[in-house]
Amino acid sequence: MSKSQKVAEFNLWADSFHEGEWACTNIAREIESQGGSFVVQYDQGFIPAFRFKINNLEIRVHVYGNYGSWSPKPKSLENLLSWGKPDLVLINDSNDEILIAVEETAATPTGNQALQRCERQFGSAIEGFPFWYLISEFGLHSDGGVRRDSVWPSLMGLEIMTSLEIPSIVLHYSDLENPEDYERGKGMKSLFRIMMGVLINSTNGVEPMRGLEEELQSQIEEMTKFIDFTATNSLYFLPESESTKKEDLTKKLCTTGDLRSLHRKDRENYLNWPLACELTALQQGEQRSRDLKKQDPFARELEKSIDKGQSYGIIRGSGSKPQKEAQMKTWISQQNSIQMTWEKEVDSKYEEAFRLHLKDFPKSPTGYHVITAPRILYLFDDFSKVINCLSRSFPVLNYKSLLNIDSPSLVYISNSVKPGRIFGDPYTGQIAAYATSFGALSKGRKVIVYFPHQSVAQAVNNFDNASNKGLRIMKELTDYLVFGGGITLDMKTGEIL
Amino acid sequence: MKPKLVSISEEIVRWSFEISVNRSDDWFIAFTNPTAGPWKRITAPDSNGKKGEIHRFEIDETRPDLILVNDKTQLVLIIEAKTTFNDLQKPAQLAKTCQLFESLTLRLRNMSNNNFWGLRSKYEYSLGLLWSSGDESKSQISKTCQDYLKNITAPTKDIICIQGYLENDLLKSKAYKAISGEILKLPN
Repeated sequence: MSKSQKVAEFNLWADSFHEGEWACTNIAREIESQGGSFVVQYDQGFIPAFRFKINNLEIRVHVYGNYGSWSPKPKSLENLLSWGKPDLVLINDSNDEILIAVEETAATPTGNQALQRCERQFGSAIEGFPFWYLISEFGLHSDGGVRRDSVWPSLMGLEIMTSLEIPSIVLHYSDLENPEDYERGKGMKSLFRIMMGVLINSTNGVEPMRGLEEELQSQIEEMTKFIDFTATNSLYFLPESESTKKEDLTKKLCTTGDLRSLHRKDRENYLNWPLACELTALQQGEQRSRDLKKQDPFARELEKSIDKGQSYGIIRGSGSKPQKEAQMKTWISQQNSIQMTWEKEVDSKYEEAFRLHLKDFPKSPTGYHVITAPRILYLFDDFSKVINCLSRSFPVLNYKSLLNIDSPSLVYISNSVKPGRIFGDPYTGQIAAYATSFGALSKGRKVIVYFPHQSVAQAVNNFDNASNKGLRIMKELTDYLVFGGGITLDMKTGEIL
Repeated sequence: MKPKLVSISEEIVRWSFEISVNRSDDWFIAFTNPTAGPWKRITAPDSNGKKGEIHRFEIDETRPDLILVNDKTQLVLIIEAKTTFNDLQKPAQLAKTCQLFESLTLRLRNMSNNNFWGLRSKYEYSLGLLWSSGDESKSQISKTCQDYLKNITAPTKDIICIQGYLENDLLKSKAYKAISGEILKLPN
């Protein structure tokens, strides 16, 4: 080793060895394209140990696949994993600092696939770590057609970057002619150029993103272009964003040096969603109530609020997949049993406020529909109007203490019947994506989540359970959870109203 | 801070075995099934060495953990991997693995017209079980493998066992036929 040579060690933690080695092989490709070289050997017969050489640098990266098989893990990694396991986490071995977390998926971006991992995107942001999400822009659906990725991870990323000033980048690979092909599109190469740059900078002892502003700017521009192209496929409209915000955003991210903002006081939104009273005539023209799929008093009031001009729906359409009778019987029995146990042991004043009956769910040839409202998101101008909807729906309960809160609000509905499901995929990812995208980080809107078919007991019993990832996300991003029968949990205090 | 290995999972024992396979001149990996990533396709080289796709698994389609091919001995190994032998003994697992082996064997045997599979459709197809060594006895292994054979109607006489084990801090694997006991020169 010559005197001027710099050597640094890194650990690339990965969900699987395949992904870790795949990442290093692609970093090697970038290193070689810059005139560098690499060798790989397998420590203990299986741990990939890469040595990259470029200019006067020797960059050593060990891959540790399968998080659960290793100990000890850096504290920062343990904290990050508690929000869900990213596919790749690059750590500086000298100080155990997380440099980058990466989520990548080969899953076809149809249905809820893309949103399922948004909780990791959020977890990384809230822990203060830069995050890159590599996803196929075009995917093959089981019906043979080609589908385009959801707009939500990108929207969420821009909101995170604007309000927390931490990179939360969504990169796309593939193209229309070659769906799900990693080698197509700009995303994969761009990700590994960033990873190579961060490794080189860290070996040189300078800020990880130094000199990478152009790459980062280009990634953010691709995100905004993607949103502009695709948003109205799933949304009624997209608010105009100020063109100067993109440049400001990159500047902010790149001047923070270690990629983490020290100034989180003035949280802003990337997009400012209008109030219902500010909608244009054209936008208002698309807003009218629709029939419920399954009868539900609160869902009915939410739909009526659209006709009253108090709220509007932003997402077009919602599908309904019938659930099998045997499963429904089991879930309904479990929900009622959980609720009755809670009533007896904890709070008898809610006796019989919530009971599920199979006959209330519309039957189809393949099972039972569980969808209540015809949409899953409502944007309200005024929180008190949501409370009025609740009061009319559940007149025996008292919501008066909430009437003095003055804030625009978001109501999200999950109709799942299976016990515990609301704390896992895809609901926690959806809540993370929607709440963040509509201003929860900047506290621009109150967030209320309605679970018409779930017993409140599940949340009460798990409220202080730190390993319940779903509730941790809800504590961060929501204000009130409304359960079956209108029983409402204050997420800041853990108290039932 | 370099961590230490505290448990050998299915992922690790399979990965270690795959490294050995990749060092072999005779065997190649046609499919591996990690949790995610660009690997959800069965691929193989044609007679000119050009690699192509044989089959792409649907998102909810049952997949094996590994498919290995040896063009010299004309053998295809369809492998189920589990962390422990106990996991492979469970009746539901046994039924699922045998069903998958049969359906996949049938699919691959019917691909004689595929440019990238072609003659491989005529090869011998065997089921392999891969796990991390524990306290399972030889007789337990033999009995379980006989149970697997009873559930397979396709012509196959033996089950290939691949056991991962730690020796002097090195992760290794050994391969043998469960019924005959023949030690196999699989990549190691």
